[in-house]
Amino acid sequence: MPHGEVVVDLAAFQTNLRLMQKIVAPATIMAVLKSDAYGHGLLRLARAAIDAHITFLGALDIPTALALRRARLGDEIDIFAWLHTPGDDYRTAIDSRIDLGISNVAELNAILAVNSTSPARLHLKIDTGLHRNGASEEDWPQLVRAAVHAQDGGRARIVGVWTHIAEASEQEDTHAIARFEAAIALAEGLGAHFTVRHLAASAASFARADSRFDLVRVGAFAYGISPGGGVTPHQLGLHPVMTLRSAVTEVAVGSMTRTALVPLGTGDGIPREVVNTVRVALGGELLLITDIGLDWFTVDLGDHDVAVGETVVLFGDGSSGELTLQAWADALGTIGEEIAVRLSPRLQRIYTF
Amino acid sequence: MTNPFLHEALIDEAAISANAAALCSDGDADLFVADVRADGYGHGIVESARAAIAGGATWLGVSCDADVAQLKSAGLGAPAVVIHRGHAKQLGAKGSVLAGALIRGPELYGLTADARVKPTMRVSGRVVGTKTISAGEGVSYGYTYRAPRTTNLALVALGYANGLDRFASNRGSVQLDGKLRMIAGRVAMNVIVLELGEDSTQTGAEAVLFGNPDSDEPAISAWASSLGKPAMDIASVMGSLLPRRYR
Ligand SMILES: Cc1ncc(COP(=O)(O)O)c(C=O)c1O
Repeated sequence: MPHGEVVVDLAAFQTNLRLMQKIVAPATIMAVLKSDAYGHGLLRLARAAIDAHITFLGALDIPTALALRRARLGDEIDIFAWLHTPGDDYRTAIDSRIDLGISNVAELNAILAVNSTSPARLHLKIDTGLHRNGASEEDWPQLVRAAVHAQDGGRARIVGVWTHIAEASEQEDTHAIARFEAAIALAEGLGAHFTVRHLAASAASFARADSRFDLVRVGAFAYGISPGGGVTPHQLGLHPVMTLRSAVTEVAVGSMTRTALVPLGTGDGIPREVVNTVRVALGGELLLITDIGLDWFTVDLGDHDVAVGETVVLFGDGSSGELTLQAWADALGTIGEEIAVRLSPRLQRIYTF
Repeated sequence: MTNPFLHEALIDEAAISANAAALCSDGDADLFVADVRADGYGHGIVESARAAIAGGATWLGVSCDADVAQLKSAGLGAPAVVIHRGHAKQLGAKGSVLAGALIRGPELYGLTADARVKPTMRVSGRVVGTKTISAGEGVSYGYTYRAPRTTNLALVALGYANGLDRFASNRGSVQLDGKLRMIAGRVAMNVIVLELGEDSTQTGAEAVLFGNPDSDEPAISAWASSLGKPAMDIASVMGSLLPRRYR
């Protein structure tokens, strides 16, 4: 094995998508593939999602959306990009039939200013309280009017309306849903009609029927990453998709201690905080990480006998007795996504079915 | 797929060379090992190796055979050694320790307090949106930030997928238009929100997480100490996750 491997279980990814599809029906699923599919690998995960009958992919930005489009996944596949900067190639995006999230009139004007051959496909975004992207309630009518005007002139097609919520509490999310519904009603009064209305990401779509509308944008749960705080993926019926493993390169036997050296470290994206916090599976035991460097960590073997070359599983689905990503996240005071996306792109990804 | 319009890690190759030159006198220059593990601490293994050699390094310190292959295929002929917890060991199963080696890693990239060396990485992200919120309104997941009064906000395209730690939520600060601004609410995967108070900014403005302290930019050491971790952890992770640009 190279110094470390990220093993991605595509069957588990597809199982999670099918479970989510069953839960949210009759709404459909957008598979969120931003940030290299949460560190799992963009194109492989896109193909697996499509094989699981997903037809909407969430890309984040235009370069990612165009990489998906160029992968020839099928012209009928919808691809959504929503984080834009002035340098972006709107023209190619429009001509490649990328659906664009639009947060304000300036963004809309920049998109309409390019000389595309087809109408821009718009998803108008209302801010329902998260206060990141999206039009404020005051600016919403103006954005809707501008989009309707562009549609009437043949330069745009209004496809969707959307928002993103804070998942702060039941009650806050209820408020956000109400604001979303009010924004839709107002827009319809101004002549906009939406084929897809979408608000929820993983957690809300799983928990609340009233959050689902026509489409839900699922990232974390598709990768088998649960929201944390003690809730395990298994409790939700989800299967962890990512396994991180390596192999022992050295066993040091001191007078009091036996230590195994494993060739993964902070330079591979392993958080330094794993020391004296996290245990790895080795030789049938869960053993504590005792120190870390740029490209190594050590494990206290206690009385156990371990050979050079033996596999070390850092996290996975638990089937070899290892911790899950979820358990790592709880131990490190973060969420599974952060650990997964930080893993170095130089670590080899291996796909299993 | 990374997007150089949203954010970048700007690498100063000349500064790596200058750091190497400044460190040469620490020992035998014929045994000066430039540590380029972890993709050159996030600066790019090939570019770092080339810059360090230009500054006087004579050996390259690597983690594994794959590193050696990458250096060779880029045409770098300097001999490589495996850095092994304080030692430089020659390649191969029976490789001997390079006695008297002068190994320089974090120092080469200005990641230590050594006054002779300068930082070599600058991380920035673009403002992708602005808005104004009223007192009491929340920001980002869980509404862990509530505006104490009416405030302007800037949405910046840097998140934990770029190595900006979630731990910096409501704690770290980022420089925008010359001023340090607090991260309001949770760091998300791809964005952070900065609290601007009464000041405003423009979409497209550049927010600097750390850069060149000589040009009044925040130092990577300040960012690192706000998180309680060594600067080398930050450089090696952010440099591997962000699009890199060289100058
Ligand atoms: C706009 C948007 N929708 C959906 C998602 C997916 O969220 P999750 O990973 O919680 O499913 C994200 C990612 O944070 C997002 O930014």
